[in-house]
Amino acid sequence: MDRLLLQVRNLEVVFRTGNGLVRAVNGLSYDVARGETLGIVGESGSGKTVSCLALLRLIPEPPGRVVGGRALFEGQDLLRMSRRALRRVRGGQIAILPQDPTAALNPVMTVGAQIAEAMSVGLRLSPRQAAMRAVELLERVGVASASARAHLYPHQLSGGMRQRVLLAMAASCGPKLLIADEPISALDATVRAQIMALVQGLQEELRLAVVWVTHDLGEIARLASRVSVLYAGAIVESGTVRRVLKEPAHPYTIALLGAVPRPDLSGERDLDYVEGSPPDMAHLPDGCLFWPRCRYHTDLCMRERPGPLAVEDEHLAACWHLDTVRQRTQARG
Amino acid sequence: MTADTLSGALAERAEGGRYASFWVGAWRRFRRNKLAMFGLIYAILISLIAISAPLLTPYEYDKIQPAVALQGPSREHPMGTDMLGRDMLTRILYASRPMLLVGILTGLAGLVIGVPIGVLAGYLGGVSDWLVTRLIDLFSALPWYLIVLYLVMVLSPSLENLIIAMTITGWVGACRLTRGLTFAVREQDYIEAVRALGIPTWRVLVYHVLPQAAPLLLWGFAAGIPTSVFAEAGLSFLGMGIRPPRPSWGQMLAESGNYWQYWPHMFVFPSIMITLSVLAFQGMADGLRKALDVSQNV
Repeated sequence: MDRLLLQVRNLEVVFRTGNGLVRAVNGLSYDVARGETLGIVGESGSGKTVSCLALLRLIPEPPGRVVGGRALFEGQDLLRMSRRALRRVRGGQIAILPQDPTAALNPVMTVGAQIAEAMSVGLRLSPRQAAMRAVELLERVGVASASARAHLYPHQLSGGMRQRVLLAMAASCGPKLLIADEPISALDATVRAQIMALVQGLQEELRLAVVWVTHDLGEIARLASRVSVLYAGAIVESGTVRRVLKEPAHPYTIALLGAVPRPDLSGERDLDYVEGSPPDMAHLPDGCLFWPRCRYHTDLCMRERPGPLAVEDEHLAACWHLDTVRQRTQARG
Repeated sequence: MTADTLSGALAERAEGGRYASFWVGAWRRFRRNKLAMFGLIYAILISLIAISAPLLTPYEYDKIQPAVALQGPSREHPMGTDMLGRDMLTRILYASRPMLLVGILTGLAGLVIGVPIGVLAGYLGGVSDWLVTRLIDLFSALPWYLIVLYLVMVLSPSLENLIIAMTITGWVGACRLTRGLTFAVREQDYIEAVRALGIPTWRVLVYHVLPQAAPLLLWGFAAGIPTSVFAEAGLSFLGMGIRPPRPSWGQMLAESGNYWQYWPHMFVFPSIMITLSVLAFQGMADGLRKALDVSQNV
């Protein structure tokens, strides 16, 4: 069996708005192997959610449109398959764990019914079977007295409980890939670790591959084996989590890591921040997308956009001046 | 008690009705509204009367008895008789039938036509939505009463054609409500979430979009009844509705035209019934609107 599960290549998504064409995703590429966890980290507005939704063709069209690229899932292009085939992939092969557990549940339907619906459609279970499976799933994701809670409406549950319900829904049809779109950003710190542990547990149980999208490098360090850094809708650096977090090669990743508070180093260094402001996606710069905020930029950066260059094995960065950057950071660091 | 059993107990209590459901709350609010309750009781009574009219009166509504023509209220004829000697009370009772039929059937037909079109237009957006919106604008801009009048004229006046004509102009109300609500619900995250689970579009519409519209549509349906009642009375008055000898309050009012100065009972009773019906159904609809409005929740 092919080890590669999902291969995204040069994905491009635009939105037609009053301010002109907003280029939300600009040539995004990444691979996901079976059973692995890929972390995708990026700041607000870097195209995290849009790129997730675009894979299952869930962005509203119009105004949105996927204008280029491929997304091969087990060899089939998600962006070009028929609506029927796509519907079987949704839920059954690829599931999404959404960002806001409050908004992502139907307020006028009991949570049990919502979990059961996915299975009665996706697995063609009878209503009885689906309802029973729904309770089992709720128990599996750590909801106490699941059979009673299945009859509750979303507003009667806490945020953490709702995210568990959504996790049960996502896992209900036995998908091969879970796309988790900042699933714990809206939750209490105490609940976050529980949800992460649950996802890890399900991952082992179902041999599930996970794309964990977040802005929190701590989550990446804990969950993922590989990480891709997203900037302005494109990957600027990717590699194993150890390598990228320890020896970042791209100026943006370096700045991002410098902005992470480190209690163990407090007092020894000032917190860095990424200079400049996030790019205006309606007016992207020519050349490298990061150059206006980059202290190493040259004329070349302003003219031509760098492709991914090998830093080492399985560690790529999209930067023309990898050597210079490395020398300078080592000199400073 | 451990945390788990405690939360379990809470969940069970919630299931046992600790949290009132939306419809239970709505009924509680409705019950407190006197005019609304009057409307509901009137609606139930008039429906019972319409169903059991033949049992309530010894007379027939179309039996002509010139010997007893134009009598005022008496023991035998509590509401008197008309110019052909027909019992007024009998005719009043029977006339509740076309009133209810027009009120309910035009409302239902409007829902059957308007809701699917509205949901599709609101959900699909784009060209189909543009077309439907223009159609709604068109129908709203034209004076519907005139169109109904014209349609009945062309189709020939009868109860069936009156319902058809009022449906042709009336479906836009339900359509507009449904379209607007679908448009708002479509943007909710949970619609995206169920689509991500591979739920087919028709299921999304029926199970996730329409239930949100149910309270509004119920109100829309109720609010349409007084309008229909009044329209039926008016059109029958003009000879464009219920055909004689079948009675209608509006038609009875028209018949009283030559007699009312000397025999006012012919005019008074149908007028009372029309007014009472419009008032009661209006009160019920108004009460529904207030009861279903969650922001009024206490």
